[in-house]
Amino acid sequence: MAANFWTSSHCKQLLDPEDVDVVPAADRERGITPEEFRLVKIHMSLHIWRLAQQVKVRQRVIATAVTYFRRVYTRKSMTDYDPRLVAPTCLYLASKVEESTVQARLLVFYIKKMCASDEKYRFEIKDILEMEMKLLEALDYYLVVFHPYRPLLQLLQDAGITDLTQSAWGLVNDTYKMDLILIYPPYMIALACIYIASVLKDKDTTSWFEELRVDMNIVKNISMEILDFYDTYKIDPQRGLPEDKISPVMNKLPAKA
Amino acid sequence: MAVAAPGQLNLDESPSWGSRSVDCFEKLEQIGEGTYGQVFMAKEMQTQEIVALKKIRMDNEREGFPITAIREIKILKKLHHPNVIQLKEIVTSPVEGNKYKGSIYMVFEYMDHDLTGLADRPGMRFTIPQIKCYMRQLLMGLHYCHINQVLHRDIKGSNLLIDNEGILKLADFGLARSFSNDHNGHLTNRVITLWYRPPELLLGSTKYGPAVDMWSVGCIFAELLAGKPILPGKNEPEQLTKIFELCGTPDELNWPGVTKMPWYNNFKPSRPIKRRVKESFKHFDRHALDLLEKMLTLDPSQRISAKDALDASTFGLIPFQQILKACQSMSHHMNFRLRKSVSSSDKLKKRPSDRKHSILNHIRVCHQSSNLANRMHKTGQVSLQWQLEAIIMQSHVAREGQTGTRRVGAKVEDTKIAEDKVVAMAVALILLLSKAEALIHTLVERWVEQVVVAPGVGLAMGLEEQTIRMLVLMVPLVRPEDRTITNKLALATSSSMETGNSTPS
Repeated sequence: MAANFWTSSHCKQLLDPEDVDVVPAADRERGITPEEFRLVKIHMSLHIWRLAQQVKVRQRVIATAVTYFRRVYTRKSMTDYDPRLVAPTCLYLASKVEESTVQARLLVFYIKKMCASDEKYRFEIKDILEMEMKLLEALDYYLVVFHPYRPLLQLLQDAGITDLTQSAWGLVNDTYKMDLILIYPPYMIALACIYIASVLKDKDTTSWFEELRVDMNIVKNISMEILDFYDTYKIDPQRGLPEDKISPVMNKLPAKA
Repeated sequence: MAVAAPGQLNLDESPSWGSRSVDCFEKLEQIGEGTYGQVFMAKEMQTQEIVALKKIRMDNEREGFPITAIREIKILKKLHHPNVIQLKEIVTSPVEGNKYKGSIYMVFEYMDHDLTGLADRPGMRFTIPQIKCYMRQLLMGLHYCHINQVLHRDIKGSNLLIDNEGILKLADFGLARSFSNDHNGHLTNRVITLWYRPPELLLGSTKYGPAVDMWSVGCIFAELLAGKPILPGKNEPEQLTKIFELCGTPDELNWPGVTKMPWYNNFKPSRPIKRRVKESFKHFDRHALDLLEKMLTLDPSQRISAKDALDASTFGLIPFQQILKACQSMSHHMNFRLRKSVSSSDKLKKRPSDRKHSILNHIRVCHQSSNLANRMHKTGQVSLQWQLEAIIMQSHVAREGQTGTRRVGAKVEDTKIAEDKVVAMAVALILLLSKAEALIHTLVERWVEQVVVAPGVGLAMGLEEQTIRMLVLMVPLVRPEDRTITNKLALATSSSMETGNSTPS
């Protein structure tokens, strides 16, 4: 019965943090450091996000696409699976899975428009379709992903702090710039976002959290990771990572043949 | 850089990632045509297991992997139920060494028959117990889909597969879709094979739910009882006419909102027709007819749900003698494969001889289930009966899964104890669930003590203090791989029996 998270493949596939942040051997050989590996994932998550704005899909599709993207790189190297191609293909596949299909030719059109200046990001329809098959296999055909959005709304309702919805929702969006979705159950991520939002907005939620009887240590750990992330990267959502920071890393990866 | 030959690289990729090649299977013959591709019977070379391979057609190359296949995979990966076909794995067939360019196959457990094929045997009609047995399994599978928010959208005889043990499984989820109650999107109304399509779809509804599948179930139920399809329309208008002639014309009284349906005005009946389901099928069993009435309700919001249909008393008592007869008559035909969808002349191919035995198992399970049912009926616990049978039926299937390809039927002696155990546990569970203590004296004393496996019975009688332990005992039924729990519990139980902890209440 996997309409609920606990019996889903998503739940069974949750990983230890140590297993997520490993640079694949092939990438290590190219001199990619763990920090750079993380940077590429952030960069490409933003790429997916910007592309999604163009083709206009729901937040859920973006979240699923980024989850696929991050899952792929717990098993495959960026050397073998060019992230510049994997990212749009994840969006393509996620749009099908989430029942808001985006045509491949539309995607290719917007990639060309968006990345006019950088040849390495441009791909043809056949590239995307072939990568789709590889992705399906890399994901072992497990396609259903649970996200913190639904539990977030339910929890906010329950706590009677729906005025925090906007800020907590934004926090959840930002968690996809990290690997949290591969590590923690979605509702825990939602709780961490509520926790941060309530601290930011000076709402006292202590008693509500106490009644939940969840492991507050985990909630606090997730919250710390989120705050650390903001501290470290200070990303401009429109412009993304600064060019001088990401370009050298991307150049270490082989461009398309 | 030197290139290593395939297989010589020292890169042991974890076997759980990456799909195998279709070459691991030997294709035996084509057995049908799915919504989007051919289906083959094949043999896994290593294990010799017989499976069904469903080829995913990749002809629409403009949009890559077909969304229908994505839906089916997505859905099948989350459904695990004895009455829902199990997707075992996905394999690829490489073209010119590139495994991403060829076809994709879905590997399913092999099922010997489909309902249409079985029903089409010349001169054969299903008996009432057989029909009940299939309907119950159909409803169990469908209820499971519905609580998991999946609409099947193509329920018909040829999609209901049946194996030689009489287990029915829902198959072909090629048109299935997830739905959610808060879903505000529109669904297509061009689904479900015409004869089984409900009036709301024919009237253009794009917001619909599990009730659409229940209409199809009603059509199949009636078809099984009547021996032929009840609403064989040639096109959509004729289909609606046939529905109205049988179920009466819809109006704002029997179906509030019907006049606002998108295509109501196109198909508006010229004169009101009276409902005549009861008259048309007056020779049916009374309980069956009651249930059929509820399934063939025009207004989807008033149509019976799978769960309520399961609870309906029609599915109560099945006399053992009848089941035995039913099974015997079935076994007569079980030595042949009779899939409707095969058009070739080798339709009646002889099955491997070991399959003959398997029917014994079915009889045994049905026997226990009905034997128990009889007793429960006598003690006035009719409503519990059905839960009990469900447990027995499921545990039977679970055990099948445990042994993999080996058919248990060949070794009837071995399975005797296991089945008794299952029955004991089922009794215990029912008693626990119902807290029907009065039952313990009437039922348990007289009957369950005969059961071979004493610990299960001991637990049943220990009721209060043993509740949790008993429930844990059920775990291996649901998850056969958890053998250790059973072993541990068997130990724990026998020791507690020795020290007299579980005295009968």
